[in-house]
Amino acid sequence: MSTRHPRRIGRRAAEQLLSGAGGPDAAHGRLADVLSAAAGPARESELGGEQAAVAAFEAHHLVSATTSRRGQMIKSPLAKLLTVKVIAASVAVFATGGVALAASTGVLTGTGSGHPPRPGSISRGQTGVSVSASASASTSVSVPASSAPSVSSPVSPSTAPSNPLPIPGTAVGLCRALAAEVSQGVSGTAGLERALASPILARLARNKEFGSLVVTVEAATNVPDYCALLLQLPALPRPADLAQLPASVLSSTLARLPVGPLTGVLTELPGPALAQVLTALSPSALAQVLTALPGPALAQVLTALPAGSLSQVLTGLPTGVLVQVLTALPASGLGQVLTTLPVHGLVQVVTRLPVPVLTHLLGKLPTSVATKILSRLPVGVLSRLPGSLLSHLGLSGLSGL
Amino acid sequence: MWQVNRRVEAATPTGRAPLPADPDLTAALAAAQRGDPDAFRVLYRDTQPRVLRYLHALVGDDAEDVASETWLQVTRDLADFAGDADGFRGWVATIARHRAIDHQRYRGRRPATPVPAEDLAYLAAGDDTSTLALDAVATDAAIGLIASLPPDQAEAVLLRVVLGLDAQAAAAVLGKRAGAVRMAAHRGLRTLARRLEQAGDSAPLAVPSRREQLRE
Repeated sequence: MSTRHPRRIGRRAAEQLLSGAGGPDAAHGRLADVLSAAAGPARESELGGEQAAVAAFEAHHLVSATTSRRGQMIKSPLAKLLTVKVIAASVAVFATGGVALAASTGVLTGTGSGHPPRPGSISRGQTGVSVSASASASTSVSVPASSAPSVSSPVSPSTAPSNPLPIPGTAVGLCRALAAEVSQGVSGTAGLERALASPILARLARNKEFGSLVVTVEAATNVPDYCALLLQLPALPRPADLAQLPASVLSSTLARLPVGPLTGVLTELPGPALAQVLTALSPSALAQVLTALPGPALAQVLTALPAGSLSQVLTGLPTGVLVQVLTALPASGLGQVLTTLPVHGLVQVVTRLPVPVLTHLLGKLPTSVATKILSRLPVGVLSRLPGSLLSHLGLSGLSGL
Repeated sequence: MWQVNRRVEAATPTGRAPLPADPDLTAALAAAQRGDPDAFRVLYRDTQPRVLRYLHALVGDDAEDVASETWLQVTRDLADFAGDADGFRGWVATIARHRAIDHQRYRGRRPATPVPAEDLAYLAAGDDTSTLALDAVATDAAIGLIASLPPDQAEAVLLRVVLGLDAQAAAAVLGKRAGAVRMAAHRGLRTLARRLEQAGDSAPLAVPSRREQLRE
């Protein structure tokens, strides 16, 4: 290929390229082409979220139409039910973003005439939490008659009847719909927590339209906790049973939780469940979860673990994450963790930590605690610790052990 | 009622088909503000692909999630928006940018994913006089290449080229002075030209096989 020395793109040429105006300067034709390609026509794949977006738009305006004044209570029970379902549908389809949405149609009627669900539109399931465990590319949700028990006559949206609103197909949408079935008009974190904790929820979850949820978590009894995680609630309906969720589901849902709900969820788990959950997580999810927790919460979580699980968790961490986790702990938690660790785990941790980190960590502890920890180490390990470290901690007396 | 047509922007040898301030879109905007869902659909079809491509540079694979959040806010605030179709695109881009910044995957100063070698070769191959086949491959490769620029350069170029904003409007989205945004965009173009040049020089003569296959 010939070596080319293209002219440097001057201001005017740059502006021409950026605005797509004028013929391309031969020396910059390739660049102009690339920019044209970047601004090329829309592809089908880029419009996958269209149904959901339009549905939300319609729902938003439907709500505005049924409330005569901002904030006024909707008087008619039918309109209220409709609004709740519509809001749930429109909010839900957005909550996880353009994930698989089955655009199944069905008029919101109480007569339950069997409308066959239309196969889903373009669906891409690429979030960590997806309903793709149940079906590879699409989930279709049928409109149940049983989901509107209090509606005795057909309810039609105030928009054109030929444009029925889709039932949510995303996992979050289904969770919200499920909560709404337990208590109509449920809103806010507390309301959702109460709804998910209801004893009838597991039974409702067995309805056909929530089938994909159940398949994802393998049992209807796991649905309440799963939904609590998806909706990022700080409290779980069944904390002791959280470990029953499939490992992959646990990994993806916990890793996506913001700090607040994550802290709430983990600190309310009883020890055995917590141990099961943490050891079930994928390495990356575990690292993400532990490093996301603030110091005090992290201490609470680690000290709640039985010794064996604590050892398993810490020794499985990459060194960098281990350093991060241990240095994040407040002194008391650190002391407890290092004291609780069985000897083999302690040895692993001590020998993997860089000396400056080890020095820093031990220096945070009261001398008596540091001494006790170090004295548990086998002589072979202890003698390999730099003398400087021991004397720095005023522990030179240990070298004789 | 509203003509929902997918406009195919034909590439002309003399230059890129300009991104229009479509009179249809301005009218659709007004109708959407009054609650017409078909008009909203028209707006969505024109704007969403641009937004997705822009967001790709900001949040990578989470572009769809962030775009969904963006449209939620657009729906909510549409009635209060004042402006024409061009202003609308700038407004949506601003919302998208804020949602991206809030998102956990926001790139900020972190380096973007590098462009796959074959994409770069695809874009760079051939001489300056032959027009790149404007297929989906080229679009993805081009967006990926622009997204691999330093963040402020990538944003400046994308807002001009893909969102179709002028220099002032792009500066408004970024909250910067127009001069700074101009400079970033020009730098971006120079970097792109250089990378294409280097890739073109080192590409084997047989490249690109993909292009040959697609050219029927």
